Amino acid sequence: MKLIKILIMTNLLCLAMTSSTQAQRLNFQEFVTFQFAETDRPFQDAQVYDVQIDQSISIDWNEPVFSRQLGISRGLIAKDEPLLQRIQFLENVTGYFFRAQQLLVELKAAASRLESAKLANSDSEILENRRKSMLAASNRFATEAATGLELIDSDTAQIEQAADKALRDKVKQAILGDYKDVADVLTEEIDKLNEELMRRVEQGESIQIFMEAWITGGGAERPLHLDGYDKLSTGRPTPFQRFQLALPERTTRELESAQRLGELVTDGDEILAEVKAAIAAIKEESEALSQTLRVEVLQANLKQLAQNLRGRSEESLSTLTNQATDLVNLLQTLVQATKITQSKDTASVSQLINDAIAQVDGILRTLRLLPGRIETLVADLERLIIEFPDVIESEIIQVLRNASEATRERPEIQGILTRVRDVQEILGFTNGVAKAASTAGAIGRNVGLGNSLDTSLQLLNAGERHPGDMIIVSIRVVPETNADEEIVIAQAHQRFKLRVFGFYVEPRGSLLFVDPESNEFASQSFEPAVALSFMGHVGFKGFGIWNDFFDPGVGLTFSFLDFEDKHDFELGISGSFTIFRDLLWLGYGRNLQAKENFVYVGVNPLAFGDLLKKSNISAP
Amino acid sequence: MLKNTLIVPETDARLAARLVQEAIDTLDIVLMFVFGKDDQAKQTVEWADQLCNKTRISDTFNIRKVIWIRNAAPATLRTVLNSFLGDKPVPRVAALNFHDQLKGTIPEGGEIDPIKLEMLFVEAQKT
Repeated sequence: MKLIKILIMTNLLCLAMTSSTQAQRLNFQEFVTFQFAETDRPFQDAQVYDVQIDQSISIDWNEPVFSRQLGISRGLIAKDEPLLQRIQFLENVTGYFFRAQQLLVELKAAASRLESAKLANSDSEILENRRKSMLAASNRFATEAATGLELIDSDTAQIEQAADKALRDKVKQAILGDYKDVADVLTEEIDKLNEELMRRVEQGESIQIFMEAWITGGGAERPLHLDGYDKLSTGRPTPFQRFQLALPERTTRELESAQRLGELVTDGDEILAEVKAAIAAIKEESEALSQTLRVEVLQANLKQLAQNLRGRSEESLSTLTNQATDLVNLLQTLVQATKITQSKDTASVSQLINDAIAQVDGILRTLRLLPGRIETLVADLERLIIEFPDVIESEIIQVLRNASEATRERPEIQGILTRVRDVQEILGFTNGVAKAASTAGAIGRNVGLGNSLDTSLQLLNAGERHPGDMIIVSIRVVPETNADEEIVIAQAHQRFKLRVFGFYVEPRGSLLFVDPESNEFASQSFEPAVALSFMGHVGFKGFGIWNDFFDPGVGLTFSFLDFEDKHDFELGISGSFTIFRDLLWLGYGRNLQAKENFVYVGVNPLAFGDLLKKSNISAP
Repeated sequence: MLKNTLIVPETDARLAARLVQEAIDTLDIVLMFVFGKDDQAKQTVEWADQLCNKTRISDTFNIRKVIWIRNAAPATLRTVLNSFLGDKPVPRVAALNFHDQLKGTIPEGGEIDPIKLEMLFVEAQKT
């Protein structure tokens, strides 16, 4: 690889790699490598990589190792499979030879320095130091090499005697050259064995890999193109502009958000109170609905029905059994909604809001599905009751009919959803994981012999992007089935934070709370005003706390003010200082029309949302 | 062509002893002695010489070196060899570390292949 290797993927990837409820655990870091210039950090859970804003990221899979892990996790390859043991043994030995080769280079360098010192007739102290250094290098090399040689020369009869003899013969020739030659011989053998395992996995089950990428920041999320994994078009190459004066979409969103937040603040509503009230309302509505439906009785009846149906092995009843079980599960959603416990006061705003959205969404989905499912079950029960009067009781049909009538559209819940989403939009919270998963045009790549899973992400073509934005790459491992619903057997994601080093200027929108300096406007104290600023920042390589946390900015701010009634238009120009990635603002300026100085503090609602959301972007 | 091997003369025992002693006294190298002049000895020397290329620094310096003693019988030479072999019979192959200590041997009649020779070299390189 031309680029410096950087292991990722797949916290790539909170690469971390996690698995869904039903998913097997696969260790993605063993077989996915993210490569990009400059840094070289191992792929670890929940790690975020810094990438420069115009870079490309290569995502390289070690397909044989992945296939092997997959085969083991899916039960297609036994853990004590001799072939597997042989691969593991050879990989272990190969590791020693690769390391020995590296250490041999160090040894030769140390020996060369000793030789130079001898030729230069250096004094005895220098010679002695060089000698010690060379002996130490020799020992490191020899220790590693000896282990590899002993292993390859040992009797590994528990694996395959004949194969071992043939391999040893090859190694005997290769050892006369470099250690790398030996490692190459062993690698060739490992590749051959891996192919055999891949063939077995391929024959056992068809598995697809889906990879998606998206960029999030400034209150928006957008999918990005990954070669071979989606039908998204490749954007035009747009290098990052260090002095940007035109307003990007982010600034427009910030101005809109500031405007709405200003209205919210003016009305005296408090965000947290709004959200908490919404969650309480959800709970109340769920409880009311649950009582109307008499969910627990309904569930008990359905469970009894399913049990009765299962007792008869009639094929025509098996569909009914599934329908009844499905309904029991659906009703469980409602039961859970009645048990919502509000997040504690210490919970983050983002957590509260996202919880509320998920809960309301879940209830609405349940309500949409329930009537149809109940009616279908009722119709089927009525059709089969004549044939099977001993297992289908007429009472259950009546109970279900009553439930069907109770499940009308609940406008109250829809209203709550709207209110919560308002707050969500002001702060720019969105559920990125869910969005990416629903990206249209995703293409699955099959795991199999000769199928490359590699891809790359070109940030230069990623459209609008800003320092501090997050790129998230997700991986889903999905078996190919005829089922409507996708079954994810493993998944992971990795985050990358976009960086710009050096000075740059960007337009930002914010909501200022402006306080006129003189007593002439004593009635006005920290009035909200929307502002547009051009803020300069400096990014430093290797200074994460500065770049991620403090990130102070200095710039020029224009704000629309309203100090007095005789001017319809009052423009304020001020100098601004920001901190925490333009989250908090302080400044001093002048109202040009009212000819009055003012001070202000301010906030960028979307930056606030980004900050809160940061801790929320975790494995799905 | 043997680039890393000292072929000890058979006809001049005193010269042979001196050359071997000088090789032993040379600092910062490990030595592999190969004894005999049959086909197996020739093959062994060839392999050992090739294995020395791994650590070759320049035409004049290598931390590995092969000493091929086709005839170890002369008493003067044997005296030098006894300094590390002691009273043991002359093996087919012997390896000395940086401090001129015997680190391993392959006895007469023992199986020899490049892996075993390399193992002797790396054992001798351990400090």
